[in-house]
Amino acid sequence: MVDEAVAAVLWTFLPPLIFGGGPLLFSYIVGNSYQNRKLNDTAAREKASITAFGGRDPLTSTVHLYPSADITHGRLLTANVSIGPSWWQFLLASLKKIIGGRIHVFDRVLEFGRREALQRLREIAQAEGVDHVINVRLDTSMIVVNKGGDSKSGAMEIFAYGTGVHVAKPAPDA
Amino acid sequence: MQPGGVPQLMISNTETIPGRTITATLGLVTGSTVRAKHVGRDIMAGLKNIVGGELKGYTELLGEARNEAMLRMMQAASGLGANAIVNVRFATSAVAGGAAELFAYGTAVQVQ
Repeated sequence: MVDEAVAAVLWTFLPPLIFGGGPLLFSYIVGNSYQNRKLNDTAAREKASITAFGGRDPLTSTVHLYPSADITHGRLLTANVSIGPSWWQFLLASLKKIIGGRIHVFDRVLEFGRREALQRLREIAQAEGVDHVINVRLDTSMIVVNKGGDSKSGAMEIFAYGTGVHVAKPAPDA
Repeated sequence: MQPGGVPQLMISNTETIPGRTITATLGLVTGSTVRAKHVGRDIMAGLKNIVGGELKGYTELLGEARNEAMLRMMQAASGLGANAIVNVRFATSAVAGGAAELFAYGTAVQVQ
C-alpha cells in the first residue's frame, strides 16, 4: 500500500524532474557554485599578479606611461577567453526579458570573462618579463548567437591585447 | 601555411615600435582566416553551457585561428620587405552560422 503510494509519487514527479527540471536544477546548483569558484580564482590570481608587479597593475589603456618612463622595447601580447552563460541564467534572462531592465545574471558572466581575459594578459606579461602593457584594448564578439525562446546555447569571446614594453631602469644610485 | 616558417617581425598595437624610429611606411597589410567549429566541439560546448563559464574548446580554436591570421599578416609584411608592423587591430565576425572570421591588420613599416 505504502509502496504503491511512493511509486505513484515517484512516477509523477521523477520523469519531469529528470527530463525537464533536472538539468535546470543541476545548472542552478552546480553552475552557480562553479562560476563563483572561477570568479574567486580569477580575483585571487589578480591579487597575486599585482603583488608580483610590485603593487601596481601592469595594464594601462593609454599609450604613454604616467609618470612617463623611458620605453626601450616592446611587442604585441594577446589573450582570449570564450564564455557562455548557464542554462539557468538563460532561463532567468528570458523571464527578465518580459519586463525588461537589467539582466544581472549576464552581468556576472561578462564580468568574469573580461576579468579573466585581462588576468591572462597580466600572466602573459609576467611570463614575458615585461614591465607594462600599454594601449590595452578589449574586443567582445558573439561566437554562438543565442536564438532566443527555448535555445540554451550561446557563447561570446573576449579578446584582450596590448603592447608589452620594457622600461629603462634608473641607475641604482640615481 | 607557407614554407619558411614565422617571419621575425616586431609587432605592436601602438603608433610606433617602442624604442625605435620608423624610416619607411610600406602600406597596409592584412591577414584573415575563416574557421568553423567542428561538431564535436559544438556538442562539448553545448554541454558546458549547462553550467556556464569558460568554453575551453572555443578559446583554443579562436586563439589558434587568430595566430594564423597574424601569421598571414606577417608573411604579407615580410613580402613587402618590412621588419615591423605597427598599429595592429583585430576584428572578429560571424560569417555564417558556426563559422567565424578572424581578421588582423596593421601598417607595415621599416624601423631602425
